Amino acid sequence: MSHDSTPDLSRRRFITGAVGAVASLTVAPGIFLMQTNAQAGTKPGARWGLLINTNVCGDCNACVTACHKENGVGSMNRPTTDAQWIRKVNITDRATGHSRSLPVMCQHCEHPPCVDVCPTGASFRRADGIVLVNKHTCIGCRYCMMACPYKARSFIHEHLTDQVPHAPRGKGTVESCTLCVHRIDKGERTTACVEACHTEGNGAMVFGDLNDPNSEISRRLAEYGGAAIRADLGLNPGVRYQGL
Amino acid sequence: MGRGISLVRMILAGLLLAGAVFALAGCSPVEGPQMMQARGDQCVEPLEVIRRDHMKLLSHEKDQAVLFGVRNPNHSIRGCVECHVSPTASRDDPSSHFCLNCHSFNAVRMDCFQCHADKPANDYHFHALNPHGPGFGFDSAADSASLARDLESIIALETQKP
Repeated sequence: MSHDSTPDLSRRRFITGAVGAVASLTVAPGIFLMQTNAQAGTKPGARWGLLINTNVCGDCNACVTACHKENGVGSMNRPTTDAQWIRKVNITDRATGHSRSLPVMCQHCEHPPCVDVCPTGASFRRADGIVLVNKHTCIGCRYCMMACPYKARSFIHEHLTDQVPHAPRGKGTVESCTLCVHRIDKGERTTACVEACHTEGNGAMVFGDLNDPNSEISRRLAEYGGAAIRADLGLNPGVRYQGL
Repeated sequence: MGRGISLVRMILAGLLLAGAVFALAGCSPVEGPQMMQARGDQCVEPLEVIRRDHMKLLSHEKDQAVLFGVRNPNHSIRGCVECHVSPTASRDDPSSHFCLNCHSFNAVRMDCFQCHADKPANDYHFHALNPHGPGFGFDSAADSASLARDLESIIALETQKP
């Protein structure tokens, strides 16, 4: 290995190389069509959200199973500390006995308390409204878990192996629903839970852009309305519920 | 008298120097680790660049990807792993894991693989510059599986009566 040749990597080339993400198509072996991604990064003006119809949501667990399979979230056979990105919650009105079952995950708040309390800035909200943990800077203090009124976050207590490539997870960091950010960044418009709800469940979930008035989720919200859990906190979550 | 002492000093210094040269000449070069052959013929950057600056590329672009969703599959850690790690790699056999092998040889303690997958998801993922072409599902653009999923969800929404 020669040490005398200085790598020709100017600052400018380094930065443009980073921002201009390149996609390519294979025409034939060895020949590629190179094209720059027209839209690199988060979709401008978007705010991703979920609408869950609790009138339709039944007793099934398809969304939980699909989410945990998609993101490689496995059980350690220790239910008190196992990570959960999404869980089914059953609520019963004591006066009438009327009960409901609904999935609860990170509500992707507009004003997330987890971001307010994070001492390192690891808990953050992306421009398209997805609340994430930057595990490169997370120190595992768990303030965000205490601040979250939805108990949406989990801490990883144990050394993990065999993570899935698109969902890095590791001991000593906090994690939660990412709204399937790896799918959204690919341009997909469905999450694992919504997909499973339509194929295996009761079709109670809709994913979409809350800021786009023509999206299915916005049309349904405009027509039928949707409630936020703990709306009194004024967090304006991106996950909305019907029939609560 | 003084001249004699300085002469002795010079001779001693010369002897020491000669001894050091002989000792160094006796050393054989350190043998490099047994590295796994990368799958594919071309790296995403010239060898001198990637050898010296891969950590800078990864470090800079991890922030771009996590914070802003700007994903460049050619400079992702996933891209490194796809070509340089065998799908059957094991941490007990470092020669099957290019990254870990070189890091341990150079005493670099990197914790990437405490969180990031240390094996390719399957054996046909390659970056866009690999002559064998990018593998299915590797690119950050939508692929046939994602389009099919989108189509299914659209059909499901349209057939549903709210």
